[in-house]
Amino acid sequence: MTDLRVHIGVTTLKNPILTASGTFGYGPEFEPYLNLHALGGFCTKGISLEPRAGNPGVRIVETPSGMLNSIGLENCGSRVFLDEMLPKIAAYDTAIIVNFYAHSEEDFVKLAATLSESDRIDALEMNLSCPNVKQGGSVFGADPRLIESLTAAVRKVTKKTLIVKLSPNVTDITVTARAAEAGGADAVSLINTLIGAAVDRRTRRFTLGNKIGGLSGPAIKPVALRMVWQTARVVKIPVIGIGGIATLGDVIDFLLVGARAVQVGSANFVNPGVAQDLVEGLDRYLAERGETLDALIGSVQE
Amino acid sequence: MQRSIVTAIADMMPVAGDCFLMAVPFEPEPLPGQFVMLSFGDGRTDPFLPRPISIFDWEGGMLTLLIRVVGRGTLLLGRQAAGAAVRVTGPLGNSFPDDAGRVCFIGGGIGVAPLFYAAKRSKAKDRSFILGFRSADESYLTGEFSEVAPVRFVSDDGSLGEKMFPHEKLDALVAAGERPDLVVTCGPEKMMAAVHGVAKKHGLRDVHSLESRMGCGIGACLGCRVNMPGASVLVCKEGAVFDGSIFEEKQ
Ligand SMILES: Cc1cc2nc3c(=O)[nH]c(=O)nc-3n(C[C@H](O)[C@H](O)[C@H](O)COP(=O)(O)OP(=O)(O)OC[C@H]3O[C@@H](n4cnc5c(N)ncnc54)[C@H](O)[C@@H]3O)c2cc1C
Ligand SMILES: Cc1cc2nc3c(=O)[nH]c(=O)nc-3n(C[C@H](O)[C@H](O)[C@H](O)COP(=O)(O)O)c2cc1C
Ligand code: FES
Repeated sequence: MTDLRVHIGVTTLKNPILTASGTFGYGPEFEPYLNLHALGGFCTKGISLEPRAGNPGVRIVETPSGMLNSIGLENCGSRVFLDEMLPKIAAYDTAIIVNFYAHSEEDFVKLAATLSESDRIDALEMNLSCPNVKQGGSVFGADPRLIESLTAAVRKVTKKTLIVKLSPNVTDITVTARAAEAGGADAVSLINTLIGAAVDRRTRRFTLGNKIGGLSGPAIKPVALRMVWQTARVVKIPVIGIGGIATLGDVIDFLLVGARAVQVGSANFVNPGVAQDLVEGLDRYLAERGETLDALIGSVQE
Repeated sequence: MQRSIVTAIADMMPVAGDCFLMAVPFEPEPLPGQFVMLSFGDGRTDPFLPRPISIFDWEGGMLTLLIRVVGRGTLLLGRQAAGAAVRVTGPLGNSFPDDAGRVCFIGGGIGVAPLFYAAKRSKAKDRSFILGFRSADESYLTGEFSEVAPVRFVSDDGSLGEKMFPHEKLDALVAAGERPDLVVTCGPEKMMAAVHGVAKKHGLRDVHSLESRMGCGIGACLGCRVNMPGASVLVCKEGAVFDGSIFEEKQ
């Protein structure tokens, strides 16, 4: 068994394979398919202060090597999450990373403070891909100044590992990544989904009820890989790579360009046991080469 | 316990009406009304998502699926030959209830798929089908269904059985004194809603297998939520089988 441990903030992950928010339910859904103890950790569905119903109408549509979703951040709310969901997953010997979001700085801070009271939560992942209601609906994740001040405000109320999840729907992701670092983030995770759309030619309507949605899956991997590489070069904090990871080859590619850990997203829908396969695959890969994880990370030749 | 496995197709058989039967070895034994998520098992990423498919039959470790070609995914699955690898995740969802008395299985179009296994496994003293197709040309497996239980066929153009809708046939049967203790339905939503109307009128117990676009089938993506008149439901986790009251506006 190779040492696969990685350190992110104050958290030690037993290995660098995590599952991505919104693609792994609240955890128990996957019990029949894999051993949750085997994972480095998992990110919960995005939690908000109050429960949210999400979007009506068609919520997912398949696209070439990927999918669009407009779930609309449906979730049970922080109270139900802490009282009912968390106890069900508390016993898993794996890092629990709570993905959270809000529509104002005030609510982000309130939510981070509430979540920080739970001992069982290992890390917080702040999702910035949602509109700021106080600023005419512009997305938090697009404004570097806002990212820095928001991260700093949340940093003040939590001692937990704070990961800022970056949106790829920006001109230069290294700018937003630096802003998160300046605000005191322990790590950045990227990428969230790319905004896209699909139309149904037959009915001449948008396929998704919400018209637009987030693109994910193998189709976005090259974009994600490029952004992770660019980001890892300019920040000192760990970068967690996300986007289209489905195979061991994908994991290695992200580690090569500098990701310290990775998150598996939509691929969980195709093979609900894939994350454990990737942990075992990475272990074998390193063992066969007699290589350490540290030596692999960031070792792409430039 | 559910599983997700890659396995080789044991048999492919074309069926009329743009349908095919696919046989794959699969354990454990599913319950009637459950479904599986089916995708390619050769590592291709396009098509990406698995497709929800009902249990048409299961016998001694062999799962049979009845699939209608409606789009790219089902088209490509239909072109697979015996020996090709597929991924099967399941068995998923809740199941049809049963009744010791009289059960009527009502299916429309490809909605007939889960009713074969349901009727076969039912312990009811009296089982029968009402199967609706557009026309005789677009009907399939009529002989197979007839071997399991008596079938009343109805069609839109009268070329197969009587020219009427399934719910009208149910209404006529009840009027003639053949009152089911349980009605099990799968088909287009309009048909199921109409069947519920008849069931309610006569005070019959009715259950329906709903359709929705699914991403995962296991409650992880939240993609399959539909707002029905009676409730907003996550079809893969809370269903796919629901009580008929789901078609009634919540008070
Ligand atoms: C619980 C359940 C059981 C089912 N059982 C059967 C069965 O036994 N036999 C059978 O032939 N079909 C069944 N279906 C419908 C089947 O899943 C769709 O026809 C199929 O997904 C269409 O895929 P496609 O790529 O050919 O079509 P496309 O139109 O290309 O599909 C594109 C996307 O839309 C989704 N989609 C399109 N139409 C439907 C639909 N009607 N229902 C759900 N998703 C849809 C697909 O999953 C896919 O993600 C079932 C559906 C559900 C929800
Ligand atoms: C159905 C679905 C729901 C998602 N929900 C969330 C969410 O609640 N919060 C979040 O930060 N990201 C969410 N994401 C984004 C994923 O966590 C991930 O960043 C993205 O899907 C890219 O990875 P992938 O290509 O491996 O899927 C969601 C993605 C999908 C497909
Ligand atoms: S299909 Fe994913 S939650 Fe129902």
